[in-house]
Amino acid sequence: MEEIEQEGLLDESMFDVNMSPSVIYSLSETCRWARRLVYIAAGAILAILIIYIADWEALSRQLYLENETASMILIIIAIFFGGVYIAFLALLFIFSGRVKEGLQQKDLQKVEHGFMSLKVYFIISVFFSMLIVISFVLQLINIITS
Amino acid sequence: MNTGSNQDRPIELGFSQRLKDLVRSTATWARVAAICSFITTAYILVTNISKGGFLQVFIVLIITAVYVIMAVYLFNFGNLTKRGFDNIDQDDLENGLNNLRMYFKMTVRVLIGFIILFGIIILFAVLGSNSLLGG
Repeated sequence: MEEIEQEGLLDESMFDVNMSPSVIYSLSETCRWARRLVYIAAGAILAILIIYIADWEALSRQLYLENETASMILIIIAIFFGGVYIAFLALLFIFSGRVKEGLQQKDLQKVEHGFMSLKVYFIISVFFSMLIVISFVLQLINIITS
Repeated sequence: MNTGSNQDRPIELGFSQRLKDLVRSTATWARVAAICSFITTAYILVTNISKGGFLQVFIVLIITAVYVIMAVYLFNFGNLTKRGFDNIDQDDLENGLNNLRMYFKMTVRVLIGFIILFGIIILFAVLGSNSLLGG
Protein backbone atom coordinates (compact mmCIF):
# COMPACT_ATOMS: atom_id res chain seq x y z
CA MET A 1 0.00 0.00 0.00
CA GLU A 2 2.74 2.36 1.02
CA GLU A 3 4.63 1.47 -2.12
CA ILE A 4 1.62 2.27 -4.28
CA GLU A 5 1.13 5.58 -2.49
CA GLN A 6 4.78 6.41 -2.93
CA GLU A 7 4.53 5.44 -6.59
CA GLY A 8 1.50 7.68 -6.92
CA LEU A 9 3.37 10.58 -5.35
CA LEU A 10 6.30 9.93 -7.63
CA ASP A 11 4.03 9.89 -10.67
CA GLU A 12 2.49 13.18 -9.55
CA SER A 13 5.85 14.87 -9.12
CA MET A 14 7.19 13.61 -12.45
CA PHE A 15 6.92 15.94 -15.44
CA ASP A 16 7.68 15.56 -19.12
CA VAL A 17 9.75 18.72 -18.94
CA ASN A 18 11.33 19.83 -15.69
CA MET A 19 12.09 23.43 -14.90
CA SER A 20 15.84 23.77 -14.56
CA PRO A 21 17.08 26.52 -12.21
CA SER A 22 18.05 28.61 -15.24
CA VAL A 23 14.53 28.29 -16.71
CA ILE A 24 13.04 29.34 -13.37
CA TYR A 25 15.46 32.29 -13.25
CA SER A 26 14.53 33.33 -16.83
CA LEU A 27 10.84 33.06 -16.02
CA SER A 28 11.10 35.16 -12.87
CA GLU A 29 13.19 37.80 -14.70
CA THR A 30 10.56 37.89 -17.46
CA CYS A 31 7.90 38.48 -14.82
CA ARG A 32 9.98 41.26 -13.28
CA TRP A 33 10.27 43.09 -16.62
CA ALA A 34 6.57 42.55 -17.35
CA ARG A 35 5.77 44.14 -13.99
CA ARG A 36 8.08 47.10 -14.74
CA LEU A 37 6.34 47.53 -18.10
CA VAL A 38 2.96 47.66 -16.36
CA TYR A 39 4.15 50.31 -13.88
CA ILE A 40 5.73 52.52 -16.56
CA ALA A 41 2.79 52.19 -18.97
CA ALA A 42 0.34 53.00 -16.16
CA GLY A 43 2.48 55.98 -15.13
CA ALA A 44 2.60 57.23 -18.71
CA ILE A 45 -1.16 57.09 -19.21
CA LEU A 46 -1.70 58.73 -15.82
CA ALA A 47 0.68 61.56 -16.75
CA ILE A 48 -1.12 62.12 -20.07
CA LEU A 49 -4.48 62.15 -18.26
CA ILE A 50 -3.21 64.68 -15.70
CA ILE A 51 -1.88 66.94 -18.46
CA TYR A 52 -5.17 66.79 -20.33
CA ILE A 53 -7.24 67.39 -17.21
CA ALA A 54 -4.99 70.33 -16.29
CA ASP A 55 -5.71 71.83 -19.71
CA TRP A 56 -9.38 70.88 -19.75
CA GLU A 57 -10.37 73.66 -22.17
CA ALA A 58 -7.97 72.40 -24.85
CA LEU A 59 -9.32 68.88 -24.38
CA SER A 60 -12.93 69.98 -24.73
CA ARG A 61 -11.99 72.05 -27.80
CA GLN A 62 -10.43 68.93 -29.35
CA LEU A 63 -13.37 66.75 -28.44
CA TYR A 64 -15.98 69.18 -29.72
CA LEU A 65 -16.19 68.53 -33.43
CA GLU A 66 -18.72 69.79 -35.96
CA ASN A 67 -21.69 68.26 -34.18
CA GLU A 68 -22.50 66.48 -30.95
CA THR A 69 -22.78 63.03 -32.54
CA ALA A 70 -19.23 63.21 -33.86
CA SER A 71 -17.87 64.29 -30.47
CA MET A 72 -19.86 61.53 -28.75
CA ILE A 73 -18.39 58.94 -31.15
CA LEU A 74 -14.91 60.30 -30.46
CA ILE A 75 -15.47 60.03 -26.70
CA ILE A 76 -16.79 56.45 -27.05
CA ILE A 77 -13.74 55.48 -29.16
CA ALA A 78 -11.40 57.09 -26.59
CA ILE A 79 -13.12 55.20 -23.74
CA PHE A 80 -12.96 51.92 -25.72
CA PHE A 81 -9.25 52.21 -26.43
CA GLY A 82 -8.64 53.31 -22.83
CA GLY A 83 -10.42 50.15 -21.71
CA VAL A 84 -8.33 48.00 -24.06
CA TYR A 85 -5.14 49.65 -22.75
CA ILE A 86 -6.18 48.97 -19.14
CA ALA A 87 -7.08 45.37 -20.05
CA PHE A 88 -3.60 44.89 -21.56
CA LEU A 89 -1.97 46.22 -18.41
CA ALA A 90 -4.21 44.12 -16.15
CA LEU A 91 -3.39 40.94 -18.10
CA LEU A 92 0.35 41.60 -17.91
CA PHE A 93 0.02 42.41 -14.20
CA ILE A 94 -1.79 39.14 -13.56
CA PHE A 95 0.79 37.22 -15.62
CA SER A 96 3.76 38.64 -13.73
CA GLY A 97 2.17 38.38 -10.29
CA ARG A 98 0.73 34.89 -10.65
CA VAL A 99 3.78 33.29 -12.25
CA LYS A 100 6.10 34.85 -9.67
CA GLU A 101 3.88 33.65 -6.82
CA GLY A 102 3.58 30.22 -8.42
CA LEU A 103 7.35 29.88 -8.72
CA GLN A 104 7.92 31.00 -5.15
CA GLN A 105 5.23 28.76 -3.68
CA LYS A 106 5.82 25.94 -6.20
CA ASP A 107 2.16 26.12 -7.13
CA LEU A 108 1.63 25.09 -10.74
CA GLN A 109 -1.98 26.30 -10.80
CA LYS A 110 -0.84 29.86 -10.24
CA VAL A 111 1.77 29.54 -12.99
CA GLU A 112 -0.94 28.20 -15.30
CA HIS A 113 -3.23 31.09 -14.41
CA GLY A 114 -0.42 33.52 -15.20
CA PHE A 115 0.27 31.98 -18.58
CA MET A 116 -3.44 32.00 -19.36
CA SER A 117 -3.39 35.80 -18.92
CA LEU A 118 -0.35 36.09 -21.18
CA LYS A 119 -2.12 34.00 -23.82
CA VAL A 120 -5.20 36.26 -23.69
CA TYR A 121 -2.85 39.28 -23.92
CA PHE A 122 -1.34 37.92 -27.15
CA ILE A 123 -4.76 36.93 -28.55
CA ILE A 124 -6.05 40.50 -28.06
CA SER A 125 -2.89 41.98 -29.61
CA VAL A 126 -3.25 39.61 -32.60
CA PHE A 127 -6.89 40.71 -33.00
CA PHE A 128 -5.92 44.40 -33.16
CA SER A 129 -2.89 43.67 -35.37
CA MET A 130 -5.19 41.78 -37.75
CA LEU A 131 -7.50 44.82 -37.90
CA ILE A 132 -4.51 46.98 -38.86
CA VAL A 133 -3.36 44.47 -41.49
CA ILE A 134 -6.89 44.28 -42.95
CA SER A 135 -7.04 48.08 -43.16
CA PHE A 136 -3.67 48.04 -45.00
CA VAL A 137 -4.98 45.44 -47.46
CA LEU A 138 -8.13 47.51 -48.05
CA GLN A 139 -6.01 50.62 -48.65
CA LEU A 140 -3.85 48.69 -51.11
CA ILE A 141 -6.94 47.43 -52.96
CA ASN A 142 -8.21 51.03 -53.07
CA ILE A 143 -4.91 52.27 -54.51
CA ILE A 144 -4.80 49.49 -57.12
CA THR A 145 -8.40 49.95 -58.26
CA SER A 146 -8.32 53.78 -58.39
CA MET B 1 23.38 32.23 -9.17
CA ASN B 2 22.74 28.54 -8.73
CA THR B 3 25.13 26.48 -6.74
CA GLY B 4 26.26 22.99 -7.60
CA SER B 5 24.30 21.48 -4.72
CA ASN B 6 21.14 23.09 -6.08
CA GLN B 7 21.66 21.54 -9.47
CA ASP B 8 22.33 18.09 -8.02
CA ARG B 9 19.01 18.08 -6.19
CA PRO B 10 15.95 17.16 -8.25
CA ILE B 11 13.79 20.23 -8.86
CA GLU B 12 10.26 19.96 -7.58
CA LEU B 13 8.81 22.21 -10.24
CA GLY B 14 8.09 21.17 -13.81
CA PHE B 15 5.70 21.67 -16.68
CA SER B 16 2.49 19.67 -16.31
CA GLN B 17 0.71 18.67 -19.51
CA ARG B 18 -1.81 21.50 -19.03
CA LEU B 19 0.91 24.08 -18.43
CA LYS B 20 2.88 22.76 -21.38
CA ASP B 21 -0.17 23.14 -23.66
CA LEU B 22 -0.79 26.64 -22.30
CA VAL B 23 2.79 27.82 -22.84
CA ARG B 24 2.86 26.19 -26.27
CA SER B 25 -0.34 27.95 -27.37
CA THR B 26 0.91 31.24 -25.88
CA ALA B 27 4.06 30.81 -27.97
CA THR B 28 1.97 30.19 -31.09
CA TRP B 29 -0.07 33.35 -30.51
CA ALA B 30 3.12 35.30 -29.87
CA ARG B 31 4.45 34.07 -33.23
CA VAL B 32 1.26 35.20 -35.00
CA ALA B 33 1.55 38.61 -33.29
CA ALA B 34 5.17 38.83 -34.46
CA ILE B 35 4.21 38.00 -38.07
CA CYS B 36 1.50 40.71 -37.95
CA SER B 37 4.17 43.14 -36.68
CA PHE B 38 6.45 42.22 -39.60
CA ILE B 39 3.64 42.91 -42.09
CA THR B 40 2.79 46.23 -40.42
CA THR B 41 6.45 47.28 -40.42
CA ALA B 42 6.85 46.39 -44.09
CA TYR B 43 3.77 48.40 -44.98
CA ILE B 44 4.90 51.45 -42.97
CA LEU B 45 8.34 51.24 -44.58
CA VAL B 46 7.02 50.93 -48.15
CA THR B 47 4.43 53.72 -47.84
CA ASN B 48 6.69 56.23 -46.07
CA ILE B 49 10.05 55.72 -47.78
CA SER B 50 8.70 56.34 -51.27
CA LYS B 51 7.16 59.75 -50.56
CA GLY B 52 8.96 61.21 -47.56
CA GLY B 53 11.85 63.66 -47.22
CA PHE B 54 15.21 62.76 -45.65
CA LEU B 55 14.18 63.50 -42.06
CA GLN B 56 10.92 61.58 -42.36
CA VAL B 57 12.67 58.59 -43.91
CA PHE B 58 15.31 58.68 -41.15
CA ILE B 59 12.68 58.73 -38.38
CA VAL B 60 10.65 55.99 -40.07
CA LEU B 61 13.77 53.84 -40.44
CA ILE B 62 14.58 54.16 -36.72
CA ILE B 63 11.01 53.40 -35.64
CA THR B 64 10.71 50.40 -37.96
CA ALA B 65 14.13 49.08 -36.88
CA VAL B 66 13.03 49.14 -33.23
CA TYR B 67 9.70 47.58 -34.18
CA VAL B 68 11.42 44.80 -36.16
CA ILE B 69 13.81 43.99 -33.31
CA MET B 70 10.86 43.69 -30.91
CA ALA B 71 9.00 41.47 -33.38
CA VAL B 72 12.11 39.27 -33.78
CA TYR B 73 12.28 38.80 -30.01
CA LEU B 74 8.63 37.80 -29.97
CA PHE B 75 9.06 35.46 -32.92
CA ASN B 76 12.10 33.83 -31.29
CA PHE B 77 10.14 33.36 -28.07
CA GLY B 78 7.46 31.53 -30.01
CA ASN B 79 9.88 29.41 -32.01
CA LEU B 80 12.37 28.47 -29.32
CA THR B 81 9.78 27.74 -26.65
CA LYS B 82 7.86 25.46 -29.01
CA ARG B 83 11.08 23.71 -30.06
CA GLY B 84 12.14 23.42 -26.42
CA PHE B 85 8.97 21.50 -25.59
CA ASP B 86 9.11 19.40 -28.76
CA ASN B 87 12.72 18.28 -28.18
CA ILE B 88 12.57 18.53 -24.37
CA ASP B 89 15.52 20.91 -24.55
CA GLN B 90 16.05 23.13 -21.49
CA ASP B 91 18.44 25.43 -23.41
CA ASP B 92 15.84 26.24 -26.07
CA LEU B 93 13.23 26.75 -23.39
CA GLU B 94 15.51 29.10 -21.48
CA ASN B 95 16.43 31.01 -24.65
CA GLY B 96 12.77 31.30 -25.58
CA LEU B 97 11.89 32.78 -22.20
CA ASN B 98 14.93 35.07 -22.40
CA ASN B 99 13.59 36.40 -25.71
CA LEU B 100 10.26 37.17 -24.05
CA ARG B 101 12.19 38.98 -21.29
CA MET B 102 14.12 40.96 -23.92
CA TYR B 103 10.84 41.85 -25.62
CA PHE B 104 9.43 43.28 -22.38
CA LYS B 105 12.75 44.98 -21.62
CA MET B 106 12.83 46.67 -25.02
CA THR B 107 9.18 47.73 -24.70
CA VAL B 108 10.03 49.35 -21.35
CA ARG B 109 12.96 51.22 -22.93
CA VAL B 110 10.89 52.38 -25.91
CA LEU B 111 8.15 53.56 -23.55
CA ILE B 112 10.67 55.47 -21.41
CA GLY B 113 12.05 57.04 -24.61
CA PHE B 114 8.57 58.16 -25.63
CA ILE B 115 7.87 59.57 -22.16
CA ILE B 116 11.12 61.58 -22.24
CA LEU B 117 10.33 62.82 -25.78
CA PHE B 118 6.79 63.74 -24.73
CA GLY B 119 8.15 65.58 -21.67
CA ILE B 120 10.63 67.54 -23.82
CA ILE B 121 7.89 68.50 -26.30
CA ILE B 122 5.62 69.69 -23.47
CA LEU B 123 8.51 71.61 -21.87
CA PHE B 124 9.26 73.38 -25.15
CA ALA B 125 5.56 74.09 -25.70
CA VAL B 126 5.25 75.63 -22.23
CA LEU B 127 8.47 77.63 -22.65
CA GLY B 128 7.33 78.76 -26.12
CA SER B 129 3.92 79.92 -24.91
CA ASN B 130 5.51 81.70 -21.90
CA SER B 131 7.97 83.58 -24.12
CA LEU B 132 5.13 84.52 -26.49
CA LEU B 133 3.10 85.86 -23.56
CA GLY B 134 6.14 87.70 -22.19
CA GLY B 135 6.98 89.20 -25.61
